[in-house]
Formats: sequence, structure tokens, C-alpha cells
Amino acid sequence: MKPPEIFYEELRNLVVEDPREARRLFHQLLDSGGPALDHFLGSISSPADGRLRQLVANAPRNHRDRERLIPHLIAWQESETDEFTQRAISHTLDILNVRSNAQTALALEVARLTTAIGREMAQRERLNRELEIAQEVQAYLFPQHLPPVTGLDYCGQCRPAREIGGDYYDFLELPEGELGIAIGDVSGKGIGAALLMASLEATLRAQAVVRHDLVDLIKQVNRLVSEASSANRYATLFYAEYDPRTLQLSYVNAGHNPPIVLRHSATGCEVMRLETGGPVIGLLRHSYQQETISLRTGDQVVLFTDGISESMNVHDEEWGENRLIQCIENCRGLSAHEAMAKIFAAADAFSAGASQHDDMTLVVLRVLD
Amino acid sequence: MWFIEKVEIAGGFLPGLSIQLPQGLTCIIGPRGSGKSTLAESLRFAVSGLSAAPKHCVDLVQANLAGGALVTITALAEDVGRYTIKRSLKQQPVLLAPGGRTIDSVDIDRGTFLPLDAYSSPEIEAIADEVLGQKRRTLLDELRSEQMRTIHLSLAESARALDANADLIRTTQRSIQDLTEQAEELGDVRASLNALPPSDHESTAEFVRVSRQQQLNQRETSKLDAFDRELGSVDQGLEQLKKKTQIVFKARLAEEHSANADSLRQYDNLLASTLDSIEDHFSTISSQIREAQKTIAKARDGITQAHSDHASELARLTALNQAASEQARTRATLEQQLVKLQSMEERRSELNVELKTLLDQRKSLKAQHILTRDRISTIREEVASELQREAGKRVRIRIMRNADHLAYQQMLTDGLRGARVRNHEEIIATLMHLRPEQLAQFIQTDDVESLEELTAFGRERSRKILDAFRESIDPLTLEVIAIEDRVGIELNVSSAGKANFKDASDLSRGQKCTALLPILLARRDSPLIIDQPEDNLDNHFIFETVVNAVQRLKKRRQMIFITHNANIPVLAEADLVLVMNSDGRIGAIERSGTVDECREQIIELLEGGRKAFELRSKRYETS
Repeated sequence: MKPPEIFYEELRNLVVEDPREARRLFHQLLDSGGPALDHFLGSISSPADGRLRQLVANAPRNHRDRERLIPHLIAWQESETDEFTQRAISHTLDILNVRSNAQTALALEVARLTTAIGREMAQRERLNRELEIAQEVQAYLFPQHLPPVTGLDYCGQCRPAREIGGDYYDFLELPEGELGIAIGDVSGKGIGAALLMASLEATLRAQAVVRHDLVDLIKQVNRLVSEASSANRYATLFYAEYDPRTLQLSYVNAGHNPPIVLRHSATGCEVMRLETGGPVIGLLRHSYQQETISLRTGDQVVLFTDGISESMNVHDEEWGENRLIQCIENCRGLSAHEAMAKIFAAADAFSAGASQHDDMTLVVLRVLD
Repeated sequence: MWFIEKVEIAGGFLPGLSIQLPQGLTCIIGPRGSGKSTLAESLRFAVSGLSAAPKHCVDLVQANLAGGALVTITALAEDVGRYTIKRSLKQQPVLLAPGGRTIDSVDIDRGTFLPLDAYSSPEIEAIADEVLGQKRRTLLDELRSEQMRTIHLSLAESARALDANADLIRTTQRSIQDLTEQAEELGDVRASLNALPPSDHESTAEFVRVSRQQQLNQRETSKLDAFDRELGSVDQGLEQLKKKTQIVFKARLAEEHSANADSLRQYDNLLASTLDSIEDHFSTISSQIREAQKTIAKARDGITQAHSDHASELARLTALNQAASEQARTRATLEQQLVKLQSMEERRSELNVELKTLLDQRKSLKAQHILTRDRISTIREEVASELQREAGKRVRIRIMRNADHLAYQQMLTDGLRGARVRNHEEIIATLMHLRPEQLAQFIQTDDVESLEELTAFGRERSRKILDAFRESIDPLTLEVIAIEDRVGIELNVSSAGKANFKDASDLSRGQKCTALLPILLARRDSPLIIDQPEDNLDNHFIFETVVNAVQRLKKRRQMIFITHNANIPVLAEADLVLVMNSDGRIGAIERSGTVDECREQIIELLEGGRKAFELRSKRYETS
């Protein structure tokens, strides 16, 4: 097969010169399936490529085609600026009776991301700047703004390692005023990890707004993510929902380092670990359990990835969770931001001189008076 | 980069007007009929003439600068110096270069030498109202005029090439059609030729032989006849000789009464016996002749059968030969036709090759043409996103590619007229998701399968529709039919929460202006004259969209606003406020100065004036 760029360039001309022949070629590409198709679908998002998107819109013939193409059509539909393509997309979606529901919202998100990634890949493939892409994808996935929550001071940050890891965190604004908090670590590095992360984020965002039961939600996420990713990829995920009215934190921990809850009292310092849940997601169908704890004012909750607890010094010694907990204890009375800065600083101080070997991610919550 | 530094008017409705204009924002205020628009239009008139101005502006200028009123403009151009333009209605404009030299070589009315943007309120509304059409596109295209001109030149060229190519294709197709019809008229010459029995050369040779024999036969018969006849005459001669002999021998030598009678009688007897012998000889000859005659009769008998056989053979061959010669004539005609047919076929296959070449050429011409057209859209998208960056979030400007397709739709509607199908509107709506070049290909190649597949019309309907189109739509015209972009200019009319963007054409008059102003402001750096509608701008949006933009962009370009909204001069910090008034006969600048110097008039004349000043002082406090 020809190099993709040449193929697209030919197709761009052919679709004007001889639309029917272009259609035939695209069907060939569709039948061949595989990464070339994904690459193609990802790289035709410029406004000038309306004719190529129309090819796609006119193509679904059977169930398999539909599964592959419809998410892209849904994703394009919103932003399509070419009248004919817009009509063709609507026509196809109408005929196939595609409904707009949570499932399609998910499809939309995934397609949006694969389109973005595909576009980047198309542009950078020759330069082989995979890591850079993955980093951008990762940065793009981190929350762009923090939804305001009454009585809660919180923040999060990820410091990517030079070789990108798969850390992920997210804050979700939920319909009834709750805050969804997610942190996770995806296995592996590079584009593959970034894609799994993207699919995890998309799935979680799509499902969290429609499912109220956490166990059900994580089960669903587990199912969708394992379908969307290759067999040996998995992710740890801690997902919690905080209700500012009741100060209750419900969570499911799917194989992630148990977050730390620190409660200061007259007698001293109480440490709780949020361990309830089940195994990592993306590998097995499994049942999960949830737990709900009541937070009190002044409580500190610290979510972290192993890049923090396992940060190493030049002698290959790990910082360890005990040192982390000690550090948090010293953060009493600090704002979430200050606490976060202090923890990072402490970890850095420990590993002084050693290069950072993994992503380091922290999410800090503080219940205000 | 240039700006209008000074304007002077002698005569007309604003006699003696002379004012220095600042580089930033000038606001002209005043009651209705005080000459605000006359001042604005006089500026436009002086710089750009009347050729491109809309009718209401021409009317205004003609009414208010009548009687030889002279407008003089001083334009300060960056890095060059001062130009002066003097213009009156009746005379050619005079352009003076820095230093006072007259310049004749520049046609200032073309708008490229000292470009000026001037919009009266009807013009702004017209742009807002025109959902489809050129006005909004011009707004963008003007900003890349050089690029656009090059593209349009190459489009015109490819359109010409496409036309010429289409003509050749049509001629060729017609010739092929003609040849095909002529060939059909000739019928199946080859089959007719093959159906003829093979021409029979043997029968001809036989005929020649037999007809030669016939001649010999005739000669034989006449020889037999001659022999017979001659033999008969020999026989007759013999009879006569016999009778003569008998008469000779009847004579007697002996006389009865003569003495010698007895002696002579003896001789008489001798002679008599000789006669007998002679007669014997005669009868022998006679019988020999009889024999000969019998022989000839026998010969005749012997040959008669052969002769009659030959005669009937000849008769058969003659008939046969006649048929063969008719066939030969037919064959000759058919062979001539075949030659003709072969040359037609040769010509036709040549033409088919030519047609194929033409169609191939057309493919690339067409692609070049359409892709060039696409480049215009791409440039517009660039311009739109540049304008969008300047215009802020309230206003959305976007290019909807190919959304101005009335001509295409009309062609389909007309083409469908004769088709015996129902729900034309629905069909057109579905067909409109096919591009012209796609549909043209279906028509050209009679591709009912693809049409059916892409429209879900079903076979029978697709067939009928395609037949109707093949009858009434020229695919060569269809595939390059003009299709244009629509420029969406929208205002977010929702004050909070989810955005609700409405197209400028659906907005109130004030909102229309609000939607367009940020775009007009951001377009380029040449001086901008805006005559706002009497309707107040929608105060709701004025901050986000207009005031901020004016304040920011007035550093970049000179702006002259006729405004009815106090927020613009007060909050965008006009560098000069001109308060105009009129006694009904003539108008004049009653007061000019800074916002503070004209505070009283602003409060009095403009809606929301006091509130604007309050807001302004609040802003000062916070900053």
C-alpha cells in the first residue's frame, strides 16, 4: 500500500475528479480496516476536507462499518462547516436512526480524542515524536478548570516524567452539585498508554453523569475500557464523589494506591486509608465494592500515584508512604495548594539529584470550616 | 496606514465647516437633521467618490453638496506625508501630493490608494439581512483582495477552458451520435453480405462452354441441311439426265420402210440394251444417293438429342447467370455500403478516443477549478478566524462552505419537473447531500445503482429521477455550477448560561449593528466611518462587543462614529466629540472637544448618557 500522505493527497483530487472511483478506494480502505483506516479518519478534520468526510458519511454499509464510522460522524456533526457533508452526515445518521444518548456521548468523546490524536499523528509521524504527542494528549486530558465546590479547597497536579508515564487525574462537575474526583495510573508508556487514558477519561466522563451507583459505574467503565483497549493494558483507578451538603465521600478503589485521609484531633492525628473497591480495570470482569465515609471540617485527603510514594534518591531508596504520611501531618492548616507544594518539595528533597523516573501526581482536598 | 487629518467644506448644507480630526476615535452626535450624516458622507465622497456608494448616500450628497460645494480633505499617510483631495459634485477631483504637486496618475475612486471603510446604517443592515449573497463575503474577500483577484483570474481561466472543453465534448458526442444513427440506417451490412450465396464461377465457365457448343451445334445442323439439299439437287439432276437419256435412246435408227431397216434394227437393239445398262447405272446411283440421304438423316437423328440437351443446358445456365448478375449488383452495392460503414466506424472510434481524451482533460480541469474554488473558502476561513480573534466571544463569524447553493437547488428543481415522482421537495432535500460533481457523474454515466445506494430512493424512483435529469440537465454544466460559501455572522443573545447564537438577519436593528460592528472594526487599518442606526444599540451587549473593541482598535485605525449611544464616546474614550446642530437651513458644528468638555451635550442628546458617565467614573476609581 502507498504511504498514507500520498494516498490522501490522491484521494483529495480523485474525490473531485471522479467521485465514484474515490468511493471505491475508500471502501477498499474500509474493508482493509486496521490502523490505516484510523489514521485516515483522524487526519481529515480540516474544513477543506469536507469531501473526504462526506465519503465517510456515505460509506456505512453494514454493521461493522457502522460501528467504526458512526462515532466519527457524530463527532464531526457538531462542527461540520461544509453544507453537503453536513447534510450527508445527518442523512446517514437519520437513516441509521442513531440516537443521542450516553452511549453516543461516549462515542463522541472517544472519536473526538482519536480524531485529535490521529491528526497529531498524521502531522508528526515522520518526525516520530510520539512521546511529545502522548505528553500533549496527557496534558489535554487533565482538567482545564476546577468546578467550584462549597466548603472544599482542592487542587491537583501532575508532573510528567521525561519518559511519559500514564498518570491521570480529573475533576468532574456532577449534575447534583457533587464533585467527582478521579486519579489513576495507566500501565505502560507512550501513545498506547495515552490512548487508554483518553478512553478512560472519555468513558468516565460519559458514564459519571448518567450513573448514580458507583459500583455500577466502575463496572461499566471496566467493561468499556477493556473492550476499547488491548488485552495486556490496564489502569488503576480511584474514583470518588464528594457531596458538599453532607460532607460524605463515596468511593471505589480499583487497584490504586489507597489515598490518605488525615484527621487532626485534640488527641493527635488519625490516618485512614481508602482501600475498598476491587482489582485494576481493563483486565477482568470483576465485581467492585464501594464505601462511604463522612469527612469532618479540617480533614485532609491526599490522593497520589506511585510516582510520589516511590520517588527514589540516588541510592535507589524509596521515599515510601510513611514519609508521605509524616509530611502530610506537617501540613496541618495549610491550604490545599500549599500542602501540595510542600509534598512535592519534600519528595524532591528526598530524591535530590536523582532523575524523576515516573509521573508524579497529587490531588489534595481540604474540608473547610 | 493613513488617516483623515482635516476636513473643510465650502458651501452646501455645512458651509464653512473646518475641523481637525484626531487619529483615534471621533464621535459625531447631534439631533436628527443636524448634518451628522452629511458630514460623514462628505468624507466618504471626498475620498472615494460616488461610483461605489449606495443610492441613499448618493442622494444625500447630491442634495447637501449641491451648488458647487467643495470638500477638501487632508490625509496624513504614514511615512509619506500629507495628501490633499479637493472634490465637488460637478468637477473632477484634484489630488495633491505632499509638496503640492497634482497627481493625475491615480484613480482614487478605485479605493486602493487611500482605502476607506464607510458604512451607513442601511448598509450595515443590508449586510446583516443578506443571509445568502455576496455582501458578507465581500467583507472577508476585500481583506485578501490581491490573493482573491489572482484566484478569480485563474478561476475565470479554468471556467473558460471548461466551457471550451464542454463545447468540444458536445460536438464530439453529437458527431458520434450522428455516425451511430447513420450506421443504424445502413443496417447490418455485414450480415446481409454474409447472407448472399457465394458467387459461382464454375457455372459461368460452363455457360461459356455450353454456349460455344451451341454455336458449333448450329453449324453442324446447317452443314447437315446443306448436305441434304445438295444431295437432293444431285438427285434431281440425275432424274433429268435419266429422262434425257431415255429420250435420246427412244430415237430409232431403222426406218420402217427402209431397206436398211433390218440391218439397222440390229443396232437399234444393241443401243436399246445399252440403255438398259445405262438405266441400271442410273438406278444404282439413285439408290446410292438414297443411301447417302439416309446416312445424313441418321447423322441428324444421332445429333439432335445432343443438340437439344445442349440447348436445355444453355437455357438453364442462362437463367442461372441472370440471377447471378443481379446478386452481383446487390453485392457491389453492399460492398460499397460496407466501405462507408467501415470508414464511419473508424471515424467513430477516433471520435471516441478524442472524447475520452476530452473527458480526461475535463476531469483535471474540473478538479483544478473546484479545488481553486475551495481555496477561496480556505482563505475566508483564515480571515474569519482572524476577525473572530478580534471580535470577541459575543460575536461568532464562521464560514459555512457551499451553503449558498440556490443555483444548484434550482437546477435540480427544474430538472425534476417532468419526472413522474411525488414529493419533489423531499427528493430535492435528499439530493442536496450529493455534490454537483457527484450527481453529474451519475447523470453522465447513467449510474442508477449509486444514486439508489446514496439516496435510498429505491430502484424505481431512482430510475425515474435519473431519467428526468438525463433529459433535462446537462451534466457538464451541473458539475461546475457556481456554489458559494455562506458567511455566518451571529450574536450570542443569551445573557448567561448556555450560549444562544442567532444569525444577524434574525436580530433586531440595534442588535444587527452590535453583531456587525466588532467585525467592521477589526477588518483593517484604514479609516472607518460608521453611521449607526437611530435605534439604540443593544446596551446589553455593548460592553463586551463594541466598547472594548473600539477602545482597543482605535489605536490602530482612525474611527469616525455617528452614534446615538453614549457608551461609545464615554466608555471608549472618544478623542474628539463633535456636537452638531442645525437651524433647518444649514448645519454646523456647535461644539467640539473631549468627552468631558461635551459632557452636557452627551447627557442631553444621547440615551443613557448619565449612566455612562457614572460607569466611567466607577471604572476610574477601580483602576
